[in-house]
Amino acid sequence: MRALLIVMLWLPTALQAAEATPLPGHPTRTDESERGARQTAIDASLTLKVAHPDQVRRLVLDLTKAAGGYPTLVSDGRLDLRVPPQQVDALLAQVSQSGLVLARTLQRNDRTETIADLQARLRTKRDIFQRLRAFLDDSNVAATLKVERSMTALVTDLEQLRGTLELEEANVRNAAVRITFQFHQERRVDQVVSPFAWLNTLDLEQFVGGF
Amino acid sequence: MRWLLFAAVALCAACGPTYRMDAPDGFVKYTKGHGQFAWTTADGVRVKARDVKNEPKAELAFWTDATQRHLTARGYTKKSERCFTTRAGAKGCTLEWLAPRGNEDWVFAVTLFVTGERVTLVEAAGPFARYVAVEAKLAKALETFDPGL
Repeated sequence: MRALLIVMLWLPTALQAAEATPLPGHPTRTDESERGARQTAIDASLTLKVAHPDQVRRLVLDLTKAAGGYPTLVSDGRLDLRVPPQQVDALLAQVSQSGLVLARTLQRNDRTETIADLQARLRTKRDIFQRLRAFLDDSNVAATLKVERSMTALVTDLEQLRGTLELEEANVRNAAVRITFQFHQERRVDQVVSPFAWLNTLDLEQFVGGF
Repeated sequence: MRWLLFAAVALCAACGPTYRMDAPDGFVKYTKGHGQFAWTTADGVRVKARDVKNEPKAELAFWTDATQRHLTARGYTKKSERCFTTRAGAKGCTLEWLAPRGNEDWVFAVTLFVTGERVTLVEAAGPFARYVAVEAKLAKALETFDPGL
């Protein structure tokens, strides 16, 4: 009964604390983020017009493999790749030479704080899990059931945190590179009127339609 | 007899300019319903010439710049620009553009020649891959273009 009471009083506070602050003795988020290099996730995209997409697709896949990367999506008009961050610039430069670059973006997101936060929360929850385990040794049936329910909920939290952390770390380990061989859908030709009348007759649709 | 001569001159004036150009490899002349200057490849890359008034009167550089600004504002993406002199000594500039059309990206090329009161436009278009396959031949043929009278 005493064990049950302890669990009921201690657990909600402990879980709340785990969300907010790491346990004493564990490094804080700032400590972790200041230690070592920043963890950056790179997201790059390249829209390239090429005469022979098949050849360029093969070339890109070869270059990706040589750079230590791998494809996650290969389709007629698009390639999604994962590439070691230090190889991204070189890969994009090489691929750019294969055609006409219509658009190029490169975004760097600092994930250091997020990763440190997830690591700290994961450690704290693991500690709570170990402590709950200790309660099982001298608990009666009711307390054991209560502890088990709490542990089950904790396992779910742990799995979710671990999954999120793994995803964040994977995004840092390998940059996401998207190469498309088509215009994006939103690039549409708008109506703009020129003061020079004949310029308004220059239009792809009008030309093709009038042929 | 005078009337006959006058009628012939009037008829000839109504004909408009007589463009001339060496046939680009892979193109055939397509005349039905398209005036006197239209060419096409078997897979649908097409070329056609027409005249517009040089109004306000300006030089080739002005119209090249105006065309570039206008098409950029309309959302076309510039592919290339090439200015050249034809065999007959006429100065021309070709501006190539990209634009989405249906599920494909197309090239739309405009070549300008300015001769006195006229601006001659040679327009060409085709799906990107098909256009790129013939663009060098077309560029070579354009160097033989004669805007006519």
